[in-house]
Amino acid sequence: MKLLYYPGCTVKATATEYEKSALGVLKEFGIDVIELDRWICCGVYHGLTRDTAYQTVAPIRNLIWAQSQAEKLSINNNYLLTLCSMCYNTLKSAHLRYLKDENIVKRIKAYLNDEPEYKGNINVIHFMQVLKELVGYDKVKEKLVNNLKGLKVAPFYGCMLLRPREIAIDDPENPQMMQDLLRILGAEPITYPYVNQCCYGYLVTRRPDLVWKRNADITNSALERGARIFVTTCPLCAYNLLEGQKNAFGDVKLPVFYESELVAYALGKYEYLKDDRLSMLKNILDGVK
Amino acid sequence: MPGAAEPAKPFSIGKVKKEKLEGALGAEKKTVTIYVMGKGYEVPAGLTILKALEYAGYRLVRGVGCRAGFCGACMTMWVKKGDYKLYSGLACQTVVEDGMYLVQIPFVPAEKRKYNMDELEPTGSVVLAIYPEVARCIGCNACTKVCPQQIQVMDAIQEIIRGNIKKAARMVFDCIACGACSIRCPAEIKHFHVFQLVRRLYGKYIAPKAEHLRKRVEEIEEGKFEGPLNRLIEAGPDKWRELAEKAQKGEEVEI
Repeated sequence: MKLLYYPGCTVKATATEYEKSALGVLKEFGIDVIELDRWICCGVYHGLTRDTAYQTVAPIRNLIWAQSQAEKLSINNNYLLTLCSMCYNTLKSAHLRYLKDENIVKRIKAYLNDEPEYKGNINVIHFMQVLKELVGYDKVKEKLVNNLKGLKVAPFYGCMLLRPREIAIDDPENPQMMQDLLRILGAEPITYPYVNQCCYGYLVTRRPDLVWKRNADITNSALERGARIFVTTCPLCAYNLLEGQKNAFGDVKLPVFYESELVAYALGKYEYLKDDRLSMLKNILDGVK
Repeated sequence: MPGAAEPAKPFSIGKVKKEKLEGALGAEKKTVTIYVMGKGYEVPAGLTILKALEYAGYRLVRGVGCRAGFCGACMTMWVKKGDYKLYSGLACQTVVEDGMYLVQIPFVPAEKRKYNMDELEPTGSVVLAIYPEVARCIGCNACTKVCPQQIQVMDAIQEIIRGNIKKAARMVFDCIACGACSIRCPAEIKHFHVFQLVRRLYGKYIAPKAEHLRKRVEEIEEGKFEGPLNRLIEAGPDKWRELAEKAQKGEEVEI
């Protein structure tokens, strides 16, 4: 199956371990990931601007380029894969805004008159949805060679995959997608109140003190319930969880992994993990056995 | 003689852009009216904006440079009658059209930040630390639309954000620092300074080093050319003249 892929800046610049492991895992399940020839920042920086047309221009431009490339390559499934939760949220929200709000369509068409028209067909899909809905967890189960038995994991969805409700990939109040996959890998997901809560996101640029406090609270809650690692799919959550611990505690008590890294490990495909990440994960697993 | 048997063609239009050709030949009228900073002038059709300005009596001190489309000094912006779009181009490369309202932009206000090339790394975050406004790009593409060099300006800025300095530097190689993009940018990015930094990072840290150049520098430092050079200096002007004449005739010259 061919899947067009919108990477986003963060997985190219900082969260490279996420891209490496996620694309590796998808390859194992026969998914032919094709990166867009042309893409720009999804537009997440402007998520809080009052003018919703302004923040819709960049994501719709990306969706238009995806549409053009799908036509060029005759890919008819309309999917556009994202890894970063922020990118998923921004692109998907813009797509829905475009379908719902005629006024916005009119305004941004005037801006985007250098591009073909967006037909509104691109289905932005997140890595977790691909594993669950296109691959299927039972298929994942068949290929496992390592068991993460004994590893207590604090899953952390953050906001971007669950809010607003219209674009949620799972039940926003009681998401189970990550936990279900973790159980299949043999790990033990803990239940704690912060699972679907906010890491305070971009507040880190203005009020890091609040963000450190918040992420210390999240970490303490996970520690109390015996977690050994965090698992997320959001590079910004990962950043805040790590930096929050460093600033609040002076060191990292709970390392942060991407869900795709655990899957790659469980599949025995160590080449999809960065060396330092692999040895860290092995050390933790040795500790729990 | 190539083509001697064929009747000579009046001229070849080669790869002249369609709009340029229309400006130069299509106009029925022999003159066109342009408005320079609001004042109308009738100028011969077919002139470049630069020549039309001079025809109209302007003595250009700024806003003119190489007159060959390389230096970027004569960036000009205009609108056309009945068209809301703002156009931009180099005055020395653009033919006047009837009803152009134009102004030259000889300088774009921008601060070139100070940095020490020896202390940097070729990463996107280094560029963002020096020019943080790069992160404000909203993807409107106004910069690309206005670039007289047909650079994909927005895409290059985006490559920087995602840390691909090599690709960004290669994309902006043709930048002539006219600043048209920076004037149009709603994020107030000063692209030409950013791009200069990016090319410097590429040249210093990423581009493969020229092996022959390294060898030659080593030879110079070891003094390989000291002997001949000193002998040449000692020989004096009369000998130089003699050697130069010999060389001009194509004879072997040795010192």
